[in-house]
Amino acid sequence: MTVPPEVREHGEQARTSARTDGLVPALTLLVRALSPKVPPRGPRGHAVLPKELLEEFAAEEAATREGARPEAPSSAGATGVDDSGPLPGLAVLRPVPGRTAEAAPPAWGWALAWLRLGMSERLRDACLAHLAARQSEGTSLLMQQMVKGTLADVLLEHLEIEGVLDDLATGRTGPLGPLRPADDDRHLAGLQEQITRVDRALLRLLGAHGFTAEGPGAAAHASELLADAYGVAGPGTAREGA
Amino acid sequence: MISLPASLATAHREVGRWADDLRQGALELDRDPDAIHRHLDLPAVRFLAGHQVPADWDRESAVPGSGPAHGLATLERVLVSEELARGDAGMMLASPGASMCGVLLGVLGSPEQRAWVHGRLAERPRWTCFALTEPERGSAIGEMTSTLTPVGDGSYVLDGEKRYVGNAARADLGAVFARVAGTERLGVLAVLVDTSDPGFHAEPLPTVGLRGAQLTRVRLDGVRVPAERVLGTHLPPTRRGMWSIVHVFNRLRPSVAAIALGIARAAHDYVGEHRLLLRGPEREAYEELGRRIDAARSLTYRAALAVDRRPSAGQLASAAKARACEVAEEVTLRAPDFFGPGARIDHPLLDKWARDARGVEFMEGTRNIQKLNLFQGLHTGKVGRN
Repeated sequence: MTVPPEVREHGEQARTSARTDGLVPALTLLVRALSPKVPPRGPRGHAVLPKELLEEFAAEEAATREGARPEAPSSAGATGVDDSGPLPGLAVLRPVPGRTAEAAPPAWGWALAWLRLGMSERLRDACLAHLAARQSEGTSLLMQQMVKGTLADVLLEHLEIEGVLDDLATGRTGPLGPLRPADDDRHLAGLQEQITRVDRALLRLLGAHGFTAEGPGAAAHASELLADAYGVAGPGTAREGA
Repeated sequence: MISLPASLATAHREVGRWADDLRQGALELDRDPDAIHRHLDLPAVRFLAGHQVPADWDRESAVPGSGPAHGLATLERVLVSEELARGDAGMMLASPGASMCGVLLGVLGSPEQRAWVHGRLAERPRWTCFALTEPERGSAIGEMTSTLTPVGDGSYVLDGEKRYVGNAARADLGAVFARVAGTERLGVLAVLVDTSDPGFHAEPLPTVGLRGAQLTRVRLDGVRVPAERVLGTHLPPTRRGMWSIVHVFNRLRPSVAAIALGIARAAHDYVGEHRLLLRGPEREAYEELGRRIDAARSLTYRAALAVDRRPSAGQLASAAKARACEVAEEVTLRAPDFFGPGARIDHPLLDKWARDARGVEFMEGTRNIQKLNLFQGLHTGKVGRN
């Protein structure tokens, strides 16, 4: 497939923003760019979104319904919003029974993969800083051979993911392009899994520090929820998993 | 990324067609490394020997050994190596020609040295060898013990032992890396040797795979190296020695990744051609392997372009080499599963590729070495910054 140029551009911006500013600002950027009117929902109606945007969406919806007051974004019943988001400023939306969810915009999943790559790189940066500051037997943990090897593995995965996303974004054909047409859904699911595996490898390097809610592990959890909510629906999951 | 120059795209297609011939000799060569002598007329072998070029083979100049006019020498080598290795990596590595010496000469050779080597290669099919690795020290340049002892007139006497040198027993010319006697870690030079000179001894070393490459142990007993065969002496001091040697390996590493990719593609294509009715989990597994190959290819091409743009940018090349070798092993080990028990016996090519994939791991540094290099790039901010 070819990801539309504007999606690629926004995806790359989200990657940069995720790495430098974090998940909520990056996701805000991406939603505003690709789905400015309605909350993007996954194939089964779930969503993970910045709370700030939920208020905007509610106001938008109210404005379109003459005389109606904006729905409170935190009222779980009507909107399916779960206040206990994985990160401050982030909300999780469950499917609303009896209400057909708006589909996420085209190529939303690919744009999210860029964002998640940026988050994974942010986690790598945090890992490097954390390990460089810790000592064991007079040496920085960062300089332990096994740590070096793991970080090299992580970088290798990041470089490969970047290349695959870039190839998909440019829709390259010919000798420099992919050899075979890809099943987009499976390809995307594979990339999201790859990002999650890399994140888990980094979290292991962080030890218990990555397990605390204040540490970088919380953002990694939010990134996993994004992959889950906007994942690819397998055959039968919409029916049996509802 | 860039689009492929038209001339390179044309050449790539033609080389791809030549590659199919290499497959015909693959198993014969696997049994008998000398069988390459019976295939010297194949277009792919003649091309590697420097005696035939594909259409649109656009060079910088008419001087033998000149680089491509489009300037993407590393990418070109990657595309060609991948295609030929898809045909058969053993046949490709067994072929005569400048091979790795050509890359070395491109960086460190003077016009006269290039003319000497390419002139001799033009006479008839001749092999070259590239002697770097040592029995006790591996390929760590800083640890090298082979010695160049100055004679006083700019020439040297070369002593030492090399191991795992491809084609050395059939080579007429070779490049040897050695330390100048009395120098520190960085005092390493590359020199050209005529293997018929007294003191050069090469003995084949039987291997499990890639038998066509005929790895060799080399003994150097007082080999005389005239001043004019010392590479890099025409360059400014800052451009000799390690600086250039690192650039040479940065240029070579993506090609090794490409050979690994060629082996992986050969095995994957074989499954597709011989198992036409793949369904369900088998089809998914097959497609997943294909995606792994494509991802490693993309990384390899990006690595080649990075080196073509900046020869010191070897970190992506390390990533590509590590990943491509991993994929080659994975694909060649999983390919027989599509045919059931006994597949490696019933399908000798599948067995051969599974063995060959082990061989690329050791070229240009193992996976762990590449990863240490990659970590160094990450730590120093040379890679992963975006």
